[in-house]
Amino acid sequence: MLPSSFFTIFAQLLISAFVLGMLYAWLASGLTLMYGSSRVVNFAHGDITMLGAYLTYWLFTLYNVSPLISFLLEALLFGGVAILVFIAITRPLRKRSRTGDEFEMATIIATFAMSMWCMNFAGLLWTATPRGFRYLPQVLSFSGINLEMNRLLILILSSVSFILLYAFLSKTRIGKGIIYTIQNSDAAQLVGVDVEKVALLSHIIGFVTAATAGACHSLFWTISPTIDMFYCLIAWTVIIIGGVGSLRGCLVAGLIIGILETFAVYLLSPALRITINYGALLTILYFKPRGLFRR
Amino acid sequence: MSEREKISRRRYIEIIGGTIAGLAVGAALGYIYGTTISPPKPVTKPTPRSIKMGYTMGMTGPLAVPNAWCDKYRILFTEIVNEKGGLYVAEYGERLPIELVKYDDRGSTDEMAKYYERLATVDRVHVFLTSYGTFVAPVVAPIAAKYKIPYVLGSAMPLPDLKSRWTVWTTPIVFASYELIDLLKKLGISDVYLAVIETKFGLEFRRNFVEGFRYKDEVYEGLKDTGIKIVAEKLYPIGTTDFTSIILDAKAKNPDAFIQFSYPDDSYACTKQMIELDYNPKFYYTSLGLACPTFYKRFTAEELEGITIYGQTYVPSAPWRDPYIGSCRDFFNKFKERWGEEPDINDTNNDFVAISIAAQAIEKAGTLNGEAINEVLHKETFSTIYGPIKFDEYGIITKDCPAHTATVLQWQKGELQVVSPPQSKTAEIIYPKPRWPR
Repeated sequence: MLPSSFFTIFAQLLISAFVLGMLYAWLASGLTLMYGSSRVVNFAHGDITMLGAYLTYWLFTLYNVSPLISFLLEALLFGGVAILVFIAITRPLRKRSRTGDEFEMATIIATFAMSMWCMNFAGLLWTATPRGFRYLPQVLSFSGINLEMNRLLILILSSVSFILLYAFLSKTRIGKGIIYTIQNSDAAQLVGVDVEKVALLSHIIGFVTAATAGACHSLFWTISPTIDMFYCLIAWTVIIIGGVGSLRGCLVAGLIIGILETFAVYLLSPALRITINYGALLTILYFKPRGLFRR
Repeated sequence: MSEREKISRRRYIEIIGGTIAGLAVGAALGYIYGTTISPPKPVTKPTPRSIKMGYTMGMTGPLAVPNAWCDKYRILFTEIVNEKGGLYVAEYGERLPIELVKYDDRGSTDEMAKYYERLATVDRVHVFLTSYGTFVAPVVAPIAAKYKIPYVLGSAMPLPDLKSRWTVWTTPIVFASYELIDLLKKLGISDVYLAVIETKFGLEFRRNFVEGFRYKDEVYEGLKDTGIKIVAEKLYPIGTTDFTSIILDAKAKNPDAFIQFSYPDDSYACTKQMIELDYNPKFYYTSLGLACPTFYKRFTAEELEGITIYGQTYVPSAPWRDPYIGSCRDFFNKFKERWGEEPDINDTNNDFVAISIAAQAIEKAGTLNGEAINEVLHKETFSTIYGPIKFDEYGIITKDCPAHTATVLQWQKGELQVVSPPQSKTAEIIYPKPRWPR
């Protein structure tokens, strides 16, 4: 019989894995819709996360604004930023590109430039010194399992937001339009879906998920201008494993990465964390080249 | 050319001859006037307008942040000295202000070399200071020797192998891990859990700790011979933010001591998660991070109580004095007053010590001559916030100075204290560490 401490450790690890996994799933959900519906390869996704985290930090430390309010404020603010980016960058690029591939290539370059700009802007404004704050540091304990309230809040915010997004996509007309566009853009246009509106909406969702994931990040971890690349790569890993355009894929892949990261670090070595992430990516792609949920 | 405009040969000879004759007469008169009519004036050295201290630093690039910190100490020092009129230089019989001459090297050694050459030949600085990082020294030391300009290093680990007689280092030569082992032995700790960041810094700490690495003529038997058991050793990559797995593993193994050789960010994250997971080892050491106000300000004094960290001989309560700023407490207060934040305890304040030593050497030498300043640097003892400092021929702090050896600091009632080695101690260690407040 296994000792009770084994179950305590297992449960503790599982909770950590779920917190990470849900954060990754929420982070990647917007990117998968953005790429799936409008073919924008957004390399600035992690930068929006980083800026969202800094903004939460700033609002909390300077004006004592609760991160919960920041979460909602950032959804509005970055929704607006997404509209501007769509009008100023994505739409002109789409008009000037002769093929879809050319458009994808152009968005890679444009968003990469955006990423560089954001990272340097953050470095200028907040310097490279890691920033952070402590919000709800009280520890909840039950049966030997401990969890800081702020981590519980990350789990709740990311899970509830994810469920709401899922409901929006499956229950509303415009949400279904996004799904149809992801599945077949030409057919969606034939049945009356306004792909331009879908592209704009997917931009908004992409920016909002990234920024609010940043708000979640800031609740527990420190923020520096270089977290952008980590989150960008994680988001892409999740959507490639899950299958482009699939929200269910994001959820499953996010949890897989969260669980693998946490348990592998415990059982093997923390140094293998990145190896394990990309090992999982390669293994899944070998058996399911289009990802777990892409049909 | 027309016929009228042509100059005849005769006229040409007249012009040249007249010019030569005129010059000869002028030179003769000048000579007579200079030697017989007026006595020669004494040749005096013009008084320089300032004492130039030159350095480069990465104002942009990856080391911009620590460099900005290092510069705060130099600026503070310069302001304090210049407020009183500057440093007294006996050769000129007056006080001269300090002028900091600096360039942005963007963290590149190529740029650095170029700018140090410029500092020596164009700006003609009197002393070289330095930017953050040990990698700077091998680039600058040869330039300092070439132009005979004393080079005083701040935040850089000593490299005695350079064997430069124009260089002095203000950091300890004996690594903190020796003191740590010594302390663990004294406390009767029987087993430790190691969490080590996979960078040169973390691995050096680890190597010294585990193998009792012999550095220069320092002999230490190391952990292997002490009988202290390492129950587990986890290396983690830079950027690791989630320590749940490591902490749970350590908690299950339950060693007396949990030791983390860390950078600031991971030190903060690990401490925070230890509190969350209620992991209470009897002894907790984390190298960097919790001496930096950016991080320790996020914890309460109760949470910090009993945590041990890497340090040098400076803490606000240390008994040492600097001739320009006063006691260690004065240094702490004046820095806070000037910059609105507390000074770093264990890292960048080396640059304050470095510029203070350079200033003391100039005043003691009474001249701005590089060779004379360098001689003083290698001969005299300097009062600093690290205690008295004297250098050997290769610029390493001598054994009889407390700053020769790194220290172990401990948080006690909201303030850091030196708890080891005995010669630098400002308080007795609290052991076992109190449990995290709930």
